[in-house]
Amino acid sequence: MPTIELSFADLEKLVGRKLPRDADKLNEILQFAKSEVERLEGDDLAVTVEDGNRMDLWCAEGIARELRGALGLESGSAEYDMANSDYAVTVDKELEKIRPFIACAVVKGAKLNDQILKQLMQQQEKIDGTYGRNRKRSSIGLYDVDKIKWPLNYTVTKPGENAFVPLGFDKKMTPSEILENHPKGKEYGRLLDGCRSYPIFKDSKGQVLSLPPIINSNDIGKVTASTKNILIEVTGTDWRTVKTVLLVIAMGLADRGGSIQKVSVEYPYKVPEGSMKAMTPDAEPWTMLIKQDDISKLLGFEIGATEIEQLLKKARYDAAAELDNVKVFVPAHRADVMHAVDVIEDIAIMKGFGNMEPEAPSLPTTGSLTRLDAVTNRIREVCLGLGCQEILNFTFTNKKSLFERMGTDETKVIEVENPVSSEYTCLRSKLLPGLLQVLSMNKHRDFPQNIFEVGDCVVPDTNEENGTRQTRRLAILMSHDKANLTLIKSAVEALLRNFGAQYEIKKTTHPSFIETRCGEIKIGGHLAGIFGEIHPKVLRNWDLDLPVTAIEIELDALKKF
Amino acid sequence: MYKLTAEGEKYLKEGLPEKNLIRKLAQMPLTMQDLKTMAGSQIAVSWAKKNGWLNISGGTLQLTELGKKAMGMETSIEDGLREVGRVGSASQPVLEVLLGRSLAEESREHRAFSEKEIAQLTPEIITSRAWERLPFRPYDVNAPAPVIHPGKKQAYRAFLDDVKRELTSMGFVEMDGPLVELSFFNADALYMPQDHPARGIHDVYFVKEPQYGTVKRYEDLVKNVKKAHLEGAAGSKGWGGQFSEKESARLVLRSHGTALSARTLIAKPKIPGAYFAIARVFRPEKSDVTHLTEFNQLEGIVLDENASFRKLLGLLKEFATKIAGTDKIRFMPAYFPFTEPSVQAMVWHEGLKKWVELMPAGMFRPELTAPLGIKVPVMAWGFGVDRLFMIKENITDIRDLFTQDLKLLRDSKVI
Repeated sequence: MPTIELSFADLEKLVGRKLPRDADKLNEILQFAKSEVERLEGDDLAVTVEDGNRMDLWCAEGIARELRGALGLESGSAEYDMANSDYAVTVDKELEKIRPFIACAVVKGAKLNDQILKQLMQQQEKIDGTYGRNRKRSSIGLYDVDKIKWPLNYTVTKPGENAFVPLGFDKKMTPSEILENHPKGKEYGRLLDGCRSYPIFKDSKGQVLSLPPIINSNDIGKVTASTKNILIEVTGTDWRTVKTVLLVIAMGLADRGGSIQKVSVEYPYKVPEGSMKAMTPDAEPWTMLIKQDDISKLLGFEIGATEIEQLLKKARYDAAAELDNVKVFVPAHRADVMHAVDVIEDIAIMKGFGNMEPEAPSLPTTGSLTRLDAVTNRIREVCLGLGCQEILNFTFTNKKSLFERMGTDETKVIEVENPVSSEYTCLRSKLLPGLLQVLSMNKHRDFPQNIFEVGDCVVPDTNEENGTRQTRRLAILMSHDKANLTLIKSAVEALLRNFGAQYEIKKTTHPSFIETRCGEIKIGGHLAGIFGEIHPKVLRNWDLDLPVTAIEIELDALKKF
Repeated sequence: MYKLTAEGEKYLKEGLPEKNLIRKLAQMPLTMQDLKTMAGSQIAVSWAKKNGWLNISGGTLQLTELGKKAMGMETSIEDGLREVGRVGSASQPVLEVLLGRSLAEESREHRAFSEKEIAQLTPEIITSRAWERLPFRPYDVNAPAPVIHPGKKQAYRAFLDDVKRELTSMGFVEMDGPLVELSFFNADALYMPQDHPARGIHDVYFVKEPQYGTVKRYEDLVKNVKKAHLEGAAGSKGWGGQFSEKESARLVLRSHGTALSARTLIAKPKIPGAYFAIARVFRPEKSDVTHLTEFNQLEGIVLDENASFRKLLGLLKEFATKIAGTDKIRFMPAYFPFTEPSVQAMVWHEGLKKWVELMPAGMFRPELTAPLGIKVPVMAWGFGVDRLFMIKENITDIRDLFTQDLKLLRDSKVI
């Protein structure tokens, strides 16, 4: 969830009301904008917006807009004047396969300062990163309108042509040089992988505004606190996202005193609405009809038409009750609203979760554990009865523990592609290595050390839908100066007798065990486990000095679940 | 406990060989040559010499004054033989000599009573009613006893057992599912768009080999889910964007317990039905005081024609009381991709003197339930049961939950 840095005084100004300085009290109000105080020191206010889908709230203006509704300072949808203009952008048809969509807006007279500018950059970065999927789905560019010669072209360039000075640099670079040498080029160049032409945004004088979605020009594409008139451009692969992001940025600047002017974008192909010309930004709300009953039913209490209307207006929707329904006008910037449940949640938030009496549900069901867990619990009890301390290890481990230290050859295990530490790279196929690790950590503790674990292990198996065979296993280690085969065999037989298993024990060899002191356990003719004295070579691998005897059994072989 | 060996029994009956030797010497002169024909004479000579009872000069044995005296007295060894024969023990130095000479050995029989007092209680003492006439040797209750460590449940797992017991008693049925999961269940079926940031390498572990499983068994479901993503379902607009069946088959380590709920929803659940699981889940995060790369989630769902948000709040309140042991709870708006309305239940932590987020929950989105064939509302939650245990036990380092330190495990309290 995005955390954004704000100015307390600025937020108060935008809301138009004093806000409490106490974090708890402030949270009571901020919850209406799904936000929570992260830090409040002097004027520095950091809030986390607890909604990864409501990017309209990822800025002071958006939070304030929501709060003005919740606090009753404004009601219904926030209205913005958007004048038509002669500003126009044309789109090259080659872009359909590269980065098909662009939407633009001009905002004149917004009052910026360094602090507001910083927030604007922050908003741009958060939206590009998360909501824009690291600029793939959408990316934002801002320009100084007064340096532009209209109309504009969203067109394509060969990688070696149209050199311009990118932001933060002082010499001209071609697009391919930018991808190679500019930090942003290196970071986002992959978005143009495999393209023979790159998108480029130019004015009618031929000046380059930007190389979307990589970098702006250092001249036209630089907005400062003294910039008076701003062009907002959003390009991307998803039309709905592109349009919504544009609208949100434009509304924010309008809240800073700017006036929005529409830009017409002429496409050589159809946008998803079916036309070839789009006037952006487009703040036209869409309507949704929700049954009043559905609202009461989902929330779990009766709620009347008047209250629904009131709460919706607090949540900044326009709404009107019609017979059994309520007609909701969903503002165009609310890209998160896909279904009536999204609107109903807003009703609930404005009602206040604290104002709903929780209703204890009666569950007319009979609870139970899975058979596997119930049997596991019985087995754990027998192990406890043998005097063993239970261990809870991670399923995650590494091949060194599983194989090298156990003195065995590597077999296939489930490894991950993106480990974050060398300790955790694959899932365990056996329990014993993890238990030996426990002993190696406790050499200075009292002996005897008798420990056990019942847990899940996995190995690759392409016959399964998830490419894996998962088994529940039991392992026991007993270690002290007199631990030997007889001791562990007594334990093995005690376990199997108590499990009610028809078993046989046979001599076997295993590289982790001493050759003549190792047995295999067969249940129903299938190999189910192994026991014996751990080989001193393995003990040394784990830096152990005392004899260790061990059992590992695959519990699935018991066929009790 | 000790008993006499066969040799010891023989000496007890026939006398010690060294004693017999000096008695003989008192009757007739003996040379080393004479002794060669006598059985056991070597032992007798060596002990008699050691005791200072005789001297050997020029091959002839001579009785000393000490030897003469000794003839009329019972030695400590003879006394020891009798004691061991009778009560199974003797004084420590004597016992050591007897053991050294193989005249006594450890005994499993408990014959530990003397005529004077009772030490170890034995069947013999009990049945012979010897305790009616003899006093018990006083034992020191303050004397140190050896430390023993009982077989004990792992403390955190014991807590999870309690949670499971609580939930089953409330009517919840346990769910089960694989650790290695198809992306279909880990994300697609939960209405998480395929380009959602939380499906990337920073939030999910991807399996190296095999990279893909198969969703063939779920062909119709995949079709429904795909449609819900692209065009919407149950009156929704959908996400739009792209959907690839290949991506559905991508194998990952389960990153949240909700994957289990998805599997339950497609497996003809009971309606009304209540399900839960304590699910081991994996996230690519470095382990530290507050994070683990592998941890547990308490996941649950209730399917019911009459399920509602208010009932969900009621359920969370009940969990707070029964599992977290507090009734100080409050509800905050939240966002989770699978639920709408969503809620974060916070409970008051007395130790930290603050509200802590504990139970994220919500009503499953219709775009999730409808494609899986579920026609009733579903209340869902998936909370950090690890954190709950930490709060309860005042644990500050989450890694201690899976500790490998036997001291910590042995010292943990069961009450």
